Amino acid sequence: MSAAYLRPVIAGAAITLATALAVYPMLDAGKLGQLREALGAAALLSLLLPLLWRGRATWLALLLLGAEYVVAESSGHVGAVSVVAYAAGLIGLCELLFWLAELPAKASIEATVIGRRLLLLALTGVSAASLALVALLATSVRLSSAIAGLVLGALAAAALLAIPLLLVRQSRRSS
Amino acid sequence: MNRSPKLALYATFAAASFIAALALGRPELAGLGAPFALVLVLGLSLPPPRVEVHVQLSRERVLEGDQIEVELSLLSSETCEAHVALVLPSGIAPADEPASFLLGLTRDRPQAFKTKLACERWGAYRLGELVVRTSDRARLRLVDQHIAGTAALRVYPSRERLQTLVKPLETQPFAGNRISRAKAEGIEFADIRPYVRGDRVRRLNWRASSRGQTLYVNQQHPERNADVILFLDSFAEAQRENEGTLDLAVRAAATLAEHYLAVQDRVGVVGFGGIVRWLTPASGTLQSYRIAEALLETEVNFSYVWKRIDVLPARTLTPQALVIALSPLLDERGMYALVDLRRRGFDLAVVDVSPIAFAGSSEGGAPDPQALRLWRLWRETLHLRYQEIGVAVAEWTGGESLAKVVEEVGAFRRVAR
Repeated sequence: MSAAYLRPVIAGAAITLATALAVYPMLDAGKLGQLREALGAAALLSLLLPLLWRGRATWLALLLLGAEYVVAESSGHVGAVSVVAYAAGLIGLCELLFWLAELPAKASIEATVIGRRLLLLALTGVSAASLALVALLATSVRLSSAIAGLVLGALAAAALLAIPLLLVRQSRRSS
Repeated sequence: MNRSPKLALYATFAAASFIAALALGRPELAGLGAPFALVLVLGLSLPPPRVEVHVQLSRERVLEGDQIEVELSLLSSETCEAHVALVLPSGIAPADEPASFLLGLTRDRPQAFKTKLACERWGAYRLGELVVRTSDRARLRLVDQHIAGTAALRVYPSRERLQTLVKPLETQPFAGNRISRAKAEGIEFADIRPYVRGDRVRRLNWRASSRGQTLYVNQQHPERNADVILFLDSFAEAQRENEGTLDLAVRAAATLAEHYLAVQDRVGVVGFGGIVRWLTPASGTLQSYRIAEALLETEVNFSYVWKRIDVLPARTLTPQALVIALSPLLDERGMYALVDLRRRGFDLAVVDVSPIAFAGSSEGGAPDPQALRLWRLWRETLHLRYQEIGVAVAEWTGGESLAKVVEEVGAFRRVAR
């Protein structure tokens, strides 16, 4: 399959997903409604940059969509459970935008590559939703003592530190 | 190994969402960032793949315009997707699909992939130069491998079919297919002469002997071969895009060499330019291969050095050889060399590989019509000067058949004689 055929399909999927992510927090007008609409519109407009400029400024679309959701969520206009779908949608959008950016201008693409990518995208979405659900369920956990809280906090901090540690280890291995 | 922009973005977003969750006291925000952190952790914990590539060509020797099949064998240390881009030299192009592929590779399983390339221009090439980009499963770290080309490909110039050839005025003492002007043993009748002692009886011309009351014998023209030197002026060339006068000259030389060798003539090649190359005249299949190889090395080498034909070894320009010069008549050194050859008594014919078709203005547009007219007039005058010293000159634009030009040269030589 030619990259020229695949590109509009991915771009179309990314636009549809971004529109859904931008429109969902706007549905219920009310407190800070104008701010949410402005952020949503800006997020959709900023999506043009990575679509037309090979993945550049993907961070802007992600930031604006995230900010819109934070505003909607903090003003209580979206249900807390929506974070599961939203998290999956955001990472799916990022994956689509980066896939579009990585596609060579002229290349023939094996069907296996497309199949694997779609599978990976689906797996990422499902994992993201599951993880967001786990994070959400974690809020309902009531800790019996401060020591348990300390242990859990230390584990979370260790998990966060694992990322830069892995990065350092990999760069040493490659050099 | 390069880091993908995805790595920084995901790390930043995950960190920002965790900090926002802590600052605002809203764990839902941590839920937003958690998937990004998961991708980071999984992606970085898997090793990036190493890919080995082997390139094989279906043929190593082809003619201009032919297509070859290139087989890429890839072996990866991890299951990944690889972006393979073939780096093609000028003159070789992808036949029907782009020379860039996205392939899905499976861990430790060799995978072969075939693509076709079109050989658009003659030359000696080294193919198989590749850029392979792979990454980890999450595409966070990119590995670019530059693989140097090792497969040699020789593209020989295409040949035209000629009905006639420029006939050499003189022949050589070796047996061949040309009827010599000399009189000796042969098949073609030449003349009769009075019988002298030692003549064979079977050569007696009985009809003439009976009329003249004395014995006459037949004389024949012997069949001999000729020496043909293809003189390529490579001091300068006119070029536009991928085509130039040197390309045309080399194609013409290949065509002429093939046809002269087919009639058992001895053919030699002289590349007269910044670097002087020569191939002494010889005949046979081996010589045709030698000439094909020699022509592949022909190129324009810039030089200020004034060269005369004295630099050529004596054996290169054999006496009584027909010299066919293929020249764009752009450089004075080449033009004077041709005059010099004629003055030294060589039988010379010039095919003017016209640079006019490749003319353009300095800005890249169409040339000034007035300048073009003047240039044409100057070239016509040059042709006349060559003709005055007995050199047949015919202009070849490349758009027309070489046979027409050969016929034109032959016609001039018939009239001039």
